[in-house]
Amino acid sequence: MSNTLEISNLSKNYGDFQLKDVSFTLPTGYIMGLIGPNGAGKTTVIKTIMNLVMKDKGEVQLFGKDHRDFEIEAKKRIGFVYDTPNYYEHLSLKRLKNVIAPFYDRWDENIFMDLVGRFEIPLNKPLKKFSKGMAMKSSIALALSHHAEFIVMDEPTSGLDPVVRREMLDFLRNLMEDEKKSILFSSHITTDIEQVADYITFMHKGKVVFSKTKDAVREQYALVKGGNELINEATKQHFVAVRTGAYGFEGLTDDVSQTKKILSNSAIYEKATLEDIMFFNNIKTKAEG
Amino acid sequence: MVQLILKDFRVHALLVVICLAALFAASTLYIALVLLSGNGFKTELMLYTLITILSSSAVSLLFFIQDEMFKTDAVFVSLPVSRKQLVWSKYISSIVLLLLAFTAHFFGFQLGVVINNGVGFEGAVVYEGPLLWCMLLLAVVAFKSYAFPLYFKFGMATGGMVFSVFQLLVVIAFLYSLQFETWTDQINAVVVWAEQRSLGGLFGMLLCLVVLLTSGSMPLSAQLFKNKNLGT
Repeated sequence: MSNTLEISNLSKNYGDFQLKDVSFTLPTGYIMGLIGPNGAGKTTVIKTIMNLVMKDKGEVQLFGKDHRDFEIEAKKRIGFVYDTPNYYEHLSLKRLKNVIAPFYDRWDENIFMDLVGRFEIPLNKPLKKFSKGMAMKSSIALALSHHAEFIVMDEPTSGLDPVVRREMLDFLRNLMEDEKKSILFSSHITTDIEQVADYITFMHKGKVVFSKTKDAVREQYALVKGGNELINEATKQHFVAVRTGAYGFEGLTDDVSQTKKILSNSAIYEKATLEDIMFFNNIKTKAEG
Repeated sequence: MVQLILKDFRVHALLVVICLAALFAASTLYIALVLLSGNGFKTELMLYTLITILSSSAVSLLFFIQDEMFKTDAVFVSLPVSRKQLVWSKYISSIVLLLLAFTAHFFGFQLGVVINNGVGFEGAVVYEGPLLWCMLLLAVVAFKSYAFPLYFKFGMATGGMVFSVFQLLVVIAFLYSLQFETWTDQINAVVVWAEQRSLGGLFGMLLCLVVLLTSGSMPLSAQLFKNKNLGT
């Protein structure tokens, strides 16, 4: 299995924020969701991949080659979707397309017109009059009309209403019928990631907490609930984080079998959502100071 | 790289046309009114020369300003182009704009003369031919090209401020030098010098300028832009 993206030990220091030894791999033909709270470093990773931000150390390989040494070649195969196409707002989509299209040898006007038709985007209306959803659809149409093999999307669903978000996610799923395509999709809306991603990379405060398949994440983590009497310093060690209240405790474990051995059937075990995982990791980081 | 140069003209076509029309109209009106008034002509023609240089210089920064406003550098770096190509395209489109701006002034001047039925002043005769305008253009390109690394290093706002200080110093030096000799005589002397060396001389100057740009200012700007974080 070949990899579309390989990142190893990527570091970047902004002074007030640091990306620390970020490593993960996206195999070809899959969708990876890059999740994490605001300020986790998702956008910095994406900007580094796109060579917008210079790394301090580490390696980024696209299609098996260094992303800077083969920059132009790699970018011809990438479709980059910005959060919104908020540049040149005075232009219509048709005119913006006329600016962007000549940069790509493999620009396919039929695909572009097909996407414009499917998304019902007005071609001659100025971009500044577009809704957020319409702007995002335009951005996707521009990014996908040159037979891109790797689609990089930075927070594509943030700010969209539920209907447009669902449409967008359905579209991404359909896109993956082509097994040569891969998608890296950052979002802090974990439900979106849960719906479409095959791999999940969770970032927190500039570090990768985990990067694995969605199934592995589901198996590894569980939300545990029970009475407060079950929680003491020894049992707490088996949780990522625990919060207690008047009616009992709730905690996230990353070792379900071990936790079950210790707490046996006195506790209730539920599947942890990505939101649970993010939430409890945040508690853990705060506790660690 | 051609696409990078063309995209600015495609996107800002209307703005470019408006700016050039404004320069053309300003030149025509100024010259027609100045020539018709007939008072203080030398001083006003000197002022015209300064305004021509400064306004053309400002128009040449049009795309830099737009790129800064719309944050488009980040957008275009994500397309299949290198940062070096982006830098070179900015130089080229800026020089093309400068050329267009001087051309607009040149034709504006000619129309002003036609409206007035002649130049009406011996010192201004040199403005009728293209040689003086070509030399002004080359001088401005040479001077301005060394401002570009400042923009790539510090951005438009800070870079522009630093360059404005340099520009002001040059203007002061120029005005100071006028005390010693009549400025129209100086300009005529330069044009006569260029004419004696024929078009080949002018071509030589142009060649020197190109070498100076491509081996000095442009690589310096490319180096400064190479490691710049964009869209942060």
